[in-house]
Amino acid sequence: MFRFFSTLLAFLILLPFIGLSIYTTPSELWQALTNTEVLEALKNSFVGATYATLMAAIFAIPIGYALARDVLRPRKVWLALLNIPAMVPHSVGGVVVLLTFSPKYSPIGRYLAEHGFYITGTMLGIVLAMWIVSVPYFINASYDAFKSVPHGLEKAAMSMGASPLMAFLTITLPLGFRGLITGAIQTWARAVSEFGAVVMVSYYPKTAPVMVYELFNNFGLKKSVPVAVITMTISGLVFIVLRLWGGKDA
Amino acid sequence: MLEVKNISAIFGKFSLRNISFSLKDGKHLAIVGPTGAGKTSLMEIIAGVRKHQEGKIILDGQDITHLPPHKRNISMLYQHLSLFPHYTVRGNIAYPLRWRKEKGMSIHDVARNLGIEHLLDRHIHELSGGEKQRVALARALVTRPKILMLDEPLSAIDIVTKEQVIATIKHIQDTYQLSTILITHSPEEAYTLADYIAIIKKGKLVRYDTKDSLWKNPEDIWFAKMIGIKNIIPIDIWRKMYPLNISSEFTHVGIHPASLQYDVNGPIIGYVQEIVQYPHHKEIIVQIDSGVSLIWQTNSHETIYKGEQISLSISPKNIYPLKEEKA
Repeated sequence: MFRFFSTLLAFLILLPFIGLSIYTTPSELWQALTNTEVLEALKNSFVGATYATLMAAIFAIPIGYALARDVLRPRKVWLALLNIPAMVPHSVGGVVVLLTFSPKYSPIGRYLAEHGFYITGTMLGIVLAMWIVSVPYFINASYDAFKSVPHGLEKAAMSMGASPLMAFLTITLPLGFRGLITGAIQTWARAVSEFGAVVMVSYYPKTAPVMVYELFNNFGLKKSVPVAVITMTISGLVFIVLRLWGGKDA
Repeated sequence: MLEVKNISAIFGKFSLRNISFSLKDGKHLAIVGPTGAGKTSLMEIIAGVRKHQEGKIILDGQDITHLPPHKRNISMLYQHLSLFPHYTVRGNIAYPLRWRKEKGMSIHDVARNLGIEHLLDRHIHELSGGEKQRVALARALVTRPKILMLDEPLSAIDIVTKEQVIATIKHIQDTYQLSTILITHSPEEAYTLADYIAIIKKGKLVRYDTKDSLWKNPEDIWFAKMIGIKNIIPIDIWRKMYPLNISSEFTHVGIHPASLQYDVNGPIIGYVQEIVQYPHHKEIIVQIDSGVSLIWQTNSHETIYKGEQISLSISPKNIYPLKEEKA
């Protein structure tokens, strides 16, 4: 019974993706793959998502740890606040990035611009837009990962002479590693697929979702499918590799 | 010698208040008290993993109050052992040596001493409960600590493993010439493994004594319960069977179940209510008055039946007068 419903559900989820793949031809795929504009968009998506994930890790690992160890209190309020970007429409995330980092609207933006950092129309803008909508996934995963490591193990490590940092690095981090990989995968996948926030902040340089949207808008569905299939395939491959690297539970 | 002087600490709504005691080299202390009394907190303060507001900890004349845990020469074994699941047995035992290499023992020596040398390359999840206990003990001993602190080491293990672990702890006490501080709920464990017993109640040290004097003079009902005196009988009921000349401030008598003896002419007469068989002894519940029973612990092979009337006797020196519990 469980197997039947699981298979049915998996089939229903995968059906549109299979349909997407048969809606295009190898020559159309090859044409898209050799188009420099498409390659540039793919590169922007994957590189941008990787930077956004790394940036998310820098924030999410200490925040997740602090939440798991009750250093940030009240925990529920903090978790609710930090999850706001995942709950609001993503175009709102784009507005937030613009209002916070654009030299036109904020002193932070003006300060960054004075030092040569611009948000609109740059890769930095893409990364920030991706980061703001995906970082909650990493924070939640990091919190769950560290919560699953008994605090007693850290205390035991410290009672044996490890400093708090070394107890974290030698005990908590390795034991929470799989959970963090899960968080990284979710964050990366969310960042790659981001459209709303990215298009608000930085239409150019184009990312893959923006390119799919533009092709659809200008030339119809047929033209957008090859780029969609390539994006989907590469994302799927990266997803599988990361899962295998992170172990069976990642 | 370990000297704990006027330790006070506040943790939220709970506090430890003005705790002082000393423990001579090679002597063993059991800290007993109800759940939440502050036993583990006190142990963590001594180990240096928990901060306190007032008081000093002195080991061999050196003030170690502000030293980090690894410079105190004290090892601590937590109740749940806290073995690191991502390391092998060898990795676990070697872990403390990473931070204090100067005085460590060889991993093989300590593993051989505890009979776990053949397990060194195993993972923690491959070990039995008793093996895990010995690995945790090896890890605590590898740095040659002056004091080994054990937080309820026998609380979550089966009877057979418990006997093995008690034997291992006694072996450690004899072999390594260290002092042990044991936290336990069990009066039997305290009596078996310690020379001194400290009783903590609501964050205060209310009694510190040798186990024998505490055993023979529990003073009031609360202490009697704490040290495992199972029979606490109102004095008027006791006097109906057994004449006793004691001061009026005592309201009850305390009797260890093992102090009672089967005696056909004994003055304590009652009916057998229940017989509970344990591996090495049995406990017989005897009703001596309406609603009042006592427990008799015996190894006797005498055949006793439920409902039967029996007579017991006791030496007067094994009857402990008890006052009402102090607030």
